[in-house]
Amino acid sequence: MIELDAVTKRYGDKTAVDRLTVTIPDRAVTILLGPSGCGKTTTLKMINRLIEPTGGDIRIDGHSIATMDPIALRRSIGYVIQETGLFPHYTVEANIGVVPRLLGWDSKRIRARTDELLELVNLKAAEYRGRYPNELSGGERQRVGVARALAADPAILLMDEPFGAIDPINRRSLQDFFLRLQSDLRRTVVFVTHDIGEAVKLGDNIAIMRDGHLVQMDTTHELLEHPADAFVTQLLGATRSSEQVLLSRAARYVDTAFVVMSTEQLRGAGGIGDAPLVVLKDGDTIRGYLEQGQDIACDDPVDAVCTFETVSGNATLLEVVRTLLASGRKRAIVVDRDGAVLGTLSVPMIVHIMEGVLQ
Amino acid sequence: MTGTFIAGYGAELVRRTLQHVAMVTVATVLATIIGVVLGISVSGHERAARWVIGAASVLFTIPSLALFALLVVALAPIGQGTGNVPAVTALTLYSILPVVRNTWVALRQVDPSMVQVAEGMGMTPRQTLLRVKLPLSLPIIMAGIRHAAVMDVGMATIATLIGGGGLGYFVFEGIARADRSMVLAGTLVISLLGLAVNAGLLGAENRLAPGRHHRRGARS
Repeated sequence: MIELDAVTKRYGDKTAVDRLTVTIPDRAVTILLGPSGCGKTTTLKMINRLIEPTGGDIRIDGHSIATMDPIALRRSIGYVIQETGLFPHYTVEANIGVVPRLLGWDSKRIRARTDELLELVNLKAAEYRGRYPNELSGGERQRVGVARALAADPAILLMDEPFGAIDPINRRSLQDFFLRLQSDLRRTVVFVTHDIGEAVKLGDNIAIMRDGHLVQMDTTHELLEHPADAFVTQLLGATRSSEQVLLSRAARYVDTAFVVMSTEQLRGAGGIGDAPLVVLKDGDTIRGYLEQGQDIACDDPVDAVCTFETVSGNATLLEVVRTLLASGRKRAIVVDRDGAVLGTLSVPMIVHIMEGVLQ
Repeated sequence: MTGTFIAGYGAELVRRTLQHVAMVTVATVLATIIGVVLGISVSGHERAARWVIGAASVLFTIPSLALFALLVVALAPIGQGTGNVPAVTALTLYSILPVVRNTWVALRQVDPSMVQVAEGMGMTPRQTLLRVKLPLSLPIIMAGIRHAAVMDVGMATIATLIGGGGLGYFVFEGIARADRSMVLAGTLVISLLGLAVNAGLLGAENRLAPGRHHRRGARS
């Protein structure tokens, strides 16, 4: 648990953070959200003492960090910044090994840990270990950045707009990757962003800041349902509730009228029968879907499956709409963290949901 | 003509080339040590940096012949008024400016987010300097060292005037004797030496460059 107790940071007569009191729960993602200049990054940097507060106290598990050695404190906390964070003169392995080396691990242990982490972030160790950051794509760099922050197995991760400099499509997949990772690792994450969609998707809790003050801190669900004031409502991207519903998570509105079948079952049945929608899934792989009323002209119904987009159940409806419009596909199949199908969504359905809210 | 020159001066040419190289090497190494240490210690202190670089610039503006002469006078009391010592001292003094200036500039241009992430991961200031700032500054510092070394090759020519030896002997002796081939041979070897030093240090620079292809701007 990280407790910020009336934390203040002043620069001359400018107050960047003003008596901020927040409790950041363990093993959950807490988002610091707000417009630029609201003090969210300053707050983050006070947690690892890159910035010293002017007043107030920050405690980790009850111990005031002001009494800790800042160097040791920082080595015990993972830190991820925008994509420039990797050292260009270090290989992937050396980058991941920075904190372990500072902690005096031997090279065998560092190598083993590097390989383990690269595996964890879905990069082939043998292939990536010796590369330099400029030989990686933006998304790969960010995965290595996350791996590096996890190297010494910290309980706390501080992430400062880690996916901010990445194009929307890669950002989406990095967010999905982060969600999967976090559901396995369950670290205490403090995540700074100004992107409300990202906040809703990734955050278990959201703390909204303005002008150095805390405006509202709540679970993501509570915050969307009960915005504290006009500022929060406005920040949520819409003053009208029909638009605000777009910030809801996909899992909440999915169409659950579907049946999962394997290729074998589908062929056995010779079609989808009475089912309104069939998701074709073999093992962990989703192959597509078939809809009632769809013309199945070919002999093998498997040939008629429609292509689709997969989205995380945590994604906002807005993200689903954007993804579908960008790809030109009709339906998104919504999956949970383990890859289980939660249901489907289409653009007309989302419009329908918005209309429903209006009435 | 070439044949008779080599027959007459070949051994001398080799000996003096080695002398020349030795002077330049010692001066460059000394200047590198002094310049880098000075550059590091004034980085982050704007005022001190301006003083140190100002002082080095003043040294740089003294005409080389005058500086050699001044050192002869200055070092005479300790019995080192002529020979290698004043020559190497003069070369070192000249070389400090490019090294210290480039070191200072290089350390300033290091991406602040690199420094911040180094500190954020728990590097001490010393570790941040040695593991992040200096390696990322290396290309610019190396360019300063190369500049100094190439300049020294040319300037070491006058060392012969104060008994410091080197290839300048051929140039000045040649002028005195109106021996064109002597002047030409000396000048040619000095020029080739300059080119070789430049190429050698450029090669070293590329090998030391942080990250593969890093300096070709592949970083996006």
